Formats: sequence, structure tokens, C-alpha cells
Amino acid sequence: MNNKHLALFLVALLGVLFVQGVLQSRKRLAKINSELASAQSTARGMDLTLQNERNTLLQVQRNSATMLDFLNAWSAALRKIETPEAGELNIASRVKQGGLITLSQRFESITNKNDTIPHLIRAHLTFEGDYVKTLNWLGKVEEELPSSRVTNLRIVRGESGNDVRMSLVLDLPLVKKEVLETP
Amino acid sequence: MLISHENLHDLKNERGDVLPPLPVALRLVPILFYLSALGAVILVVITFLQIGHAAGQLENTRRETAEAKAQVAQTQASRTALEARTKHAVDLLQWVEGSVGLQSLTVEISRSMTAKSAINELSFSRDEKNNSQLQFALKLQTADPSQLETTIEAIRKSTFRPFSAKQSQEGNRISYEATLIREVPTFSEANPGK
Repeated sequence: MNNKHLALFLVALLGVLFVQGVLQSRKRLAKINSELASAQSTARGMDLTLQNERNTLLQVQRNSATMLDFLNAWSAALRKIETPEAGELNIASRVKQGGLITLSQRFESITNKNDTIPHLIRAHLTFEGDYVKTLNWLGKVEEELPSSRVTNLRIVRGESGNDVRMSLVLDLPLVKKEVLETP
Repeated sequence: MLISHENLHDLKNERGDVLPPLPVALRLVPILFYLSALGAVILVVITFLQIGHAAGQLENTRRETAEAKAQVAQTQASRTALEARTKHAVDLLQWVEGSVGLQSLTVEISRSMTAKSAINELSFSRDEKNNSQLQFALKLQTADPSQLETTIEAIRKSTFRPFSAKQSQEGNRISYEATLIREVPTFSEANPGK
């Protein structure tokens, strides 16, 4: 191989290298462009999903606004009794303050099949007193503990005059703490 | 004897060219070679710049996609939390609807009694499955034939409607049983107080 052959070989090799370099770089560009197109398509899809989710969230917010206002309005009333002890104490002190003759008083803790109100305090109360005084006591309990529920109420004549005997079962809901926390 | 290098030329004989000179056009070959080499380098550089630009765009797009994905997850979490809170609110509403106070109704029934009548027994119990319905029982002692009508009217004025009523009478004693259903939805007037 003389110098001319060597030169020719080098020129040819350089030519091949240039062509190969251009081809390889174009191939890499094409690949990255393809990945970019795919990524942009995924991004557009994700943007659409995000937009849909935001619209759904807005719709849910609009639909639930009234219910959430209701929940917020009742949170303070429901916070009055957060433990069974507080509930029992509250009712017992009301009975005492009412000036009624307590014939029986019993409390029990009830497990409720409800995720929001998992427990109830059930008070079984029987007392006797003046008709007006007794009904005022009931009215005051219903007004000051608006979340309480009288599940059973029985009023019969009392021993004397204007007296009545009132037996009632009063349920107090113990709402799950996280429900009452403002998000 | 040493002969000068310059003097050697003088000793050479003139010789004719072995081959004819190359055509002038072939002088373009090296020029074209260098031009094409330069072009290839420029092309490769441009391509690499384009690759760099595309790679930047790709990175941005992927980052934006990841951000959008995170926002979707956050929005879904917000929606789930909101739905859970709404479910709690619905549960509480059902509780409140089933907790309508009985004092005012009891007072209205008592006030409906005329001078000739007296209540022997009055009872309410809530339906376990549907707490907003009340099982109502009333035992009266009356000499007034229209007393029960008056009492039922008083119940209706308290926004309760009696259903499935049963009534029996023995002399002056009247027994009345009915299911009371509230006509006004509690939600519109539910008041948690102060």
C-alpha cells in the first residue's frame, strides 16, 4: 500500500465517519422527538384529566355546600358533649337543677352502627313533678341540647294534683372527633 | 568528491510527462471534500443543538406531567375528603331529622284538652328504622265527644300528620294510636341553637 492508497483509505474512512455521524445524530434526534411527542401527548392527557378532576371537585363543592354549612352550624352544638362522662354529667346535673323528684336514672353506652355517630349515651329517666315544671324541663333539654333525641316518652298522671310522671329515654350522640374538626 | 545538491539538477535530463495532467475540474475534488466535511460537522452540530433543545423540552414536559399528576392526586384526595365530610353531614342531618323535639307537640296536645277532658296517658316512641316517624298513643278520659277531633287538629297544626290511626272507646275512655309523620322537612328549620 503506497501513500496514495493510504490517503484514499483515510478519505473514504473520514467520509464514512462523517456520514455515520450525521446519520447517528439524526437518528438520536428522531428518537428524542418521538419521545417528546409521546410525552406531550401524555401531558395533554394529564391536563385534561386534571381539568376534569377540578370540574368534578367544583361540582361536588357546589353540591355539598349546603350540607357542609349545616355541618358547620351544628358543630358547636355537637361539641358540647364529646365523652360519655360529659354526657352523663350534663344530664344528671340538669335533672338535679330541674327540681323534679327522680324516681330512676340510668345511663348506658350504646354502640351505634354509624360511621359519623359511632356511640350514643342513652339515659333512662323517670321522674315526677308539676306538669308545667316537667314539660319545661323537657323543653329546656331539647333547646339546650338540640342534638339530643327523645326516643321514648311516656307521661301519666302523677300521685297528686297537677303532677305528672314522665319516663323518657334520651339519646345523646357522640360524634366522631374528626367530623367536628374544621378542615 | 562532494557534489553540491543544487548542481545535481543540472545533471538531470529533461523527461516528458508519463501521463497527461489531470483535468482542471478535478481540482474541485479536495475542495468539495473539505466543504462536505465542514458541512457534515455543521450538520452534526445543528443536530446536537436540536437534540439539546428537544431534551430540554422533554424534561419540561415530563416535569409538567408529573406536576399535573400530583395535582390530579391532590384534587382526588380533596374530593374524597369532601365526599367523606358530606357523608358525615348527611348522617348528622338524618340524626337531626329523627330528633324533632317532643315538648312543643306534648304541650299542644295538652292545650287541646277541654275542661271536660283529661289525659290519662300520653306516649311517643320513635320508629327504630325511620326515626322521623313517631308511634303515638293517647289515653283520654272525656265527656266531650269532639275532644279527639280537637286533639288531632292540634297535632296537625304542629306540622305532624297522623297515619294508620286506631281508635277505641269504652265509656268515657278513649284510646288513640297513630303514626305521626312530620310534614315540614326538618332541614329547612333545623336550628342548632347558640
